[in-house]
Amino acid sequence: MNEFPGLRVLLVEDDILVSMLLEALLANFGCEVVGPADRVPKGEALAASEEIDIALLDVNIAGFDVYPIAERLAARGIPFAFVTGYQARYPRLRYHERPTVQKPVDRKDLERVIRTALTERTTR
Amino acid sequence: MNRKTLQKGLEFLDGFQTTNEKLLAANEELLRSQEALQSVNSELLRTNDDLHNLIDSTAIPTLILDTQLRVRRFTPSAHTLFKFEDALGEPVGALAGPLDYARLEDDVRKTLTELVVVEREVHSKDAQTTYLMRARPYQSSAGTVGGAVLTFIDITDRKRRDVVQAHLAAIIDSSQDAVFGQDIDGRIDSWNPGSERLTGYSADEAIGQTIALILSPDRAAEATDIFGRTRRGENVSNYPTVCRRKDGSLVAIAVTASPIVTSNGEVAGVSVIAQNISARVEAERHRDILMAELDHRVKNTLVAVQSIALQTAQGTESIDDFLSRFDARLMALSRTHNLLLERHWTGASLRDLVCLELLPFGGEHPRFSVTGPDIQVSPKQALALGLGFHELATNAAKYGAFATPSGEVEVTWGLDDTGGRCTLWLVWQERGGPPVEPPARRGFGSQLIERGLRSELQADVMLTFDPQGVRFELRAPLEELP
Repeated sequence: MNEFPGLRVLLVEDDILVSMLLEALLANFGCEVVGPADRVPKGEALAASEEIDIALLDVNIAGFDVYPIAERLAARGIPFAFVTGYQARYPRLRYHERPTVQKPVDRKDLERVIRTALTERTTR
Repeated sequence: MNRKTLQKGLEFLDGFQTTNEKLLAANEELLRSQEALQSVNSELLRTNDDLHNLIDSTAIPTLILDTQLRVRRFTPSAHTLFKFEDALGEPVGALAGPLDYARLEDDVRKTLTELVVVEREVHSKDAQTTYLMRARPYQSSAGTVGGAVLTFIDITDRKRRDVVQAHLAAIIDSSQDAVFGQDIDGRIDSWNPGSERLTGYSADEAIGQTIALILSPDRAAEATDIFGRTRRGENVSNYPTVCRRKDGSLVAIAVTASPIVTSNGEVAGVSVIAQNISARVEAERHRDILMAELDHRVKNTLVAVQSIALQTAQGTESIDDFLSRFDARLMALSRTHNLLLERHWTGASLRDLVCLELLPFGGEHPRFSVTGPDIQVSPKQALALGLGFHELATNAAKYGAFATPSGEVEVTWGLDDTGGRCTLWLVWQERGGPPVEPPARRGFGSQLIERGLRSELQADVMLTFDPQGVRFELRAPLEELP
């Protein structure tokens, strides 16, 4: 409970059930959810303008790659991680070095990934 | 003695002496001739011996015939072939017994009359042996034709090899795979029709080239490696690589290469079999895609169940309460899966989705009406709509139209064409239930209905808790529909 109080997490996820699950888990960590964005343009707008500590991105948003959002975050130096149902043996071509949370979501895994991302932010 | 007599005597003596000298010279001459003759004679004897030895030692059955086609001389191997007692003087036609060769005499006559060499393949009557018969005129030193010489060369092994080779060539020619040979320098020296089918290059175009001709340029190092290993005597088996056809297109192949080793153990070249494995590669790729898709769907379903469990747990009063609500939602999800499976996961009918959730509340008298055209929705939309209708129906059962015996649910939908944009509208209207009160907080059900459908269909949605009955409205642009 309350592992990351006040941490602002951009959530980009088009599946309502996954989104609600992550919102509940993040709320449990004490995080504030930015969004969630269920389409790429909405996510891009949030990634460009909102105050964000880290972002959790589904790889495919309603049929489109999430990379434009990742690029905006990278440009702002905001760490991000992916949430995906795909196994690592089907690697993404881009940002494959980013931490990844698998579906279904392991609460400890999510916490670890957020912590890793935060370390990156503080050491940047 | 008178002087005259003496003179004559002296002359006689002189003459005698001269004659004697001549005789001596003639004698010497004779001796020399005799020596020469002896030398010629011994030469002839040696030649005769040579010929006898040659005739006795040759393994080629040979008959020497006179002009009457009678056997004048034969080699021991001819004796073995024709199995005669004594052939000397026999007409050759009488000897042909072991051979299936009725035209023997005709062929010999042709040689004698036309002074030509006649060749013919002749089989033994048991068909086990094949001979090459060659008849040539017997030329005497006087320049006349003294008969004919017949030789019978056993070509059975050669014929057998020819047959085997023809069989192998036919197999290679009919092979669907590309089969070709390379010489020791890597130049292509044979090219079957399968090679032409696979690569598009004809034999004329390919022979003399290296294997680089048919490999994609980035595989040149592989070609060198395969050839080098095979030349050293290694076998290369089913090596997967890429062929570049004459038209530039690429095709996946498996290469099997073996050294061609001569009888003295030297590598004389390389034989190559290239198999088109594009169908297999495509099938494997397809399988991988299916596996990945299956994995993806299973994970998505698991995370959906995880989410439903967590959301259902929030605001639940007891384990029993949780289990009944969780089960009901799980069943709704499962029903939508069934609908999608019926259509091979291409989509589902809106009517089926609505009816599946309302049917459990139908009882003996239908308490709902469903009106609208046939519309297909995508799998993701179907999952969102299925769960949404389930939440509406269970809410109706608990607090709405299905909570009283007389309540009814009316679902209508249709398509609007406004300014060239097609819009799907849907209304869920409850009537006849107890007076509706707005819920204290928007729970999982409301969120599923509002957020889920808004997001998945990019729809405007409105859920109103009107005292007369719950009303749900949805308007979605049809571009979002399949």
